[in-house]
Amino acid sequence: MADKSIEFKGTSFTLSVLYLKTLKLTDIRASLIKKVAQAPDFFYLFPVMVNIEEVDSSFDYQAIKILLEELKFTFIGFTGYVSEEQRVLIRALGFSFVNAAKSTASNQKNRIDDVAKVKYKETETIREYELYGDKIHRGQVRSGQQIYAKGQNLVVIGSVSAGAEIIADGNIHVYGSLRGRAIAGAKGHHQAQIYCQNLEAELVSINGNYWLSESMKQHWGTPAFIQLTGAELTSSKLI
Amino acid sequence: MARIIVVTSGKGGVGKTTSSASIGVGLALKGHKVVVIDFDIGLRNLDLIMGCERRVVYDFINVINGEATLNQALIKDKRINNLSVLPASQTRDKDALTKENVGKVLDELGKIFEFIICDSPAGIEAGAMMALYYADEAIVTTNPEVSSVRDSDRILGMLASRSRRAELGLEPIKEHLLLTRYCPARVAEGEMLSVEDVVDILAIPLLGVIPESPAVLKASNAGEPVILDITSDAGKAYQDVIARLLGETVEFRFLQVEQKNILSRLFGG
Amino acid sequence: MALIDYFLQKKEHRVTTAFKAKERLQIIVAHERSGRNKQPDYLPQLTEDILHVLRKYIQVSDRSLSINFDNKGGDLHVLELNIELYDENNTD
Repeated sequence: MADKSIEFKGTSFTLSVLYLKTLKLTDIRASLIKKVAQAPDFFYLFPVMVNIEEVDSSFDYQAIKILLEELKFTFIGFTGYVSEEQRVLIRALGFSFVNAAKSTASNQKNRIDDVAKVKYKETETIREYELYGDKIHRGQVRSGQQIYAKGQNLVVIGSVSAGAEIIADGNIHVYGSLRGRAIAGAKGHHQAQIYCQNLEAELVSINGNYWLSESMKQHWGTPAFIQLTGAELTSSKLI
Repeated sequence: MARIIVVTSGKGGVGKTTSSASIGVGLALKGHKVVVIDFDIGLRNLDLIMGCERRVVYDFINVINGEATLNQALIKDKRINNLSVLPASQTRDKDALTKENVGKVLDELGKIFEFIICDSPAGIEAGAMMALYYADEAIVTTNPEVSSVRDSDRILGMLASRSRRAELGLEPIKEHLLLTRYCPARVAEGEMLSVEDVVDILAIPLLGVIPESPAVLKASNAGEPVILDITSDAGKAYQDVIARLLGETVEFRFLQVEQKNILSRLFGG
Repeated sequence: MALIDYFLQKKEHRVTTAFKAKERLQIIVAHERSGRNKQPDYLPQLTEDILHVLRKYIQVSDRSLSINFDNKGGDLHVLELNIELYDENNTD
């Protein structure tokens, strides 16, 4: 029965991450003060996570938290791709450690998802993503049918007819002709790719960026794969 | 147990009833007990094509509602002993057909007949869905033309998901492609989809190719299924279909443009 | 169709199937239109029942009996019954 007084819901927020290029607190302090001075209102109570991938064992976690709070930031916690020991250490010190949001199969069942979604720096550092499992569909996907591989890659052993729609959170592989619509990276996965033995699709889309048939002229009717290069879709010869 | 074969297409006017009639006749001529059922709700066609329109007293719905027995409703073909027709109702009440009551009628028919051919109406509404529900096999009738192919594909999707076999996870319906109104000359000129094109898109085994033929219109005018016109290309093509349905391997005829010489042009062929 | 067939056939013969079709349609459409003047649903069963009763007393075939429902306009409906008695000359 549902709790009548409270409820936890998974939500994504965009947060900024502070990358430290030095361990010297005095330098960090000076740089931060300069930054805040540029837009004091903006940075007032600004929620921030601190990326600790570059730090070593001498790092004073407590000090950076105090410094940020002194400058009126709202310190959320630490983040980054670090060892289990570091994570344990940080939590032992009483600080939050939050990873960037990712959806694994086990998380799907978890109602309390990761709350914070970390925003990457402009010159995108692409981290390794979790490998998705494969959903395998044997047989043709006929006009009017829709297949959705939630939290998975989709492998179709057969052709996809015009008027059919296949969707995956991960990659899409079609061992056959792709004549319908293929939507990969449906939940925001930028690196998703679409592979097929014969490209004759009505529409292909990766993370919301799409092409209609007219854009597929270069590799139309041949084995091809489609990926996102920056914000543009590109097609390439498959074999 | 009887083989229940649905003749369906999605698209209208492609040759379902023409094919149901000829296939029914063909199988009966080979000695099998066959019944052909018109599954349309409200528009009767099979009886006209079979030539028994004047002998319709009771129909499918009458049997379902208990207003008549199967025996009273079934129309025995005058030409062939083993062949019967169950005509469609003229009512527009699509709720009259339910899975249960249709199933019961098919069970009863299965005790008498070896082949039950279900002539489906066009579309994907009640009549069409009911016609395909109990099928063991499906003959998907397609014209080499874009909307027909697309609709056939849609129907194939339905056969794979909305049939009884699909619902119960049984062995799937055996699908056959029947390509009708084929014109080799236009294919040669690149104006018409070829057999290969259609098979490539629909990806089901080819049962037969029926060439476009004036004999088909003559046949329906006369109420004599075209397979009985043994000189016509269409009639011969349907005979090949019967052979294949009964397990024989038959080469596909009428796929190439015929090279007629002057003599055959004068004296027929 | 071969040229020689064309010359040898008489005109009526040549249009034979269309003629047949027209004939069949005229009959069936007329029948269905009259049907649309609302023959009550019970007629077939009524015919059966009456035949059954008749057969207790006389010899009749299925075609001996015809029942017709006529809407004579307004409130007047007429149910017409026609029974053809057995005739030695009729072989059924």
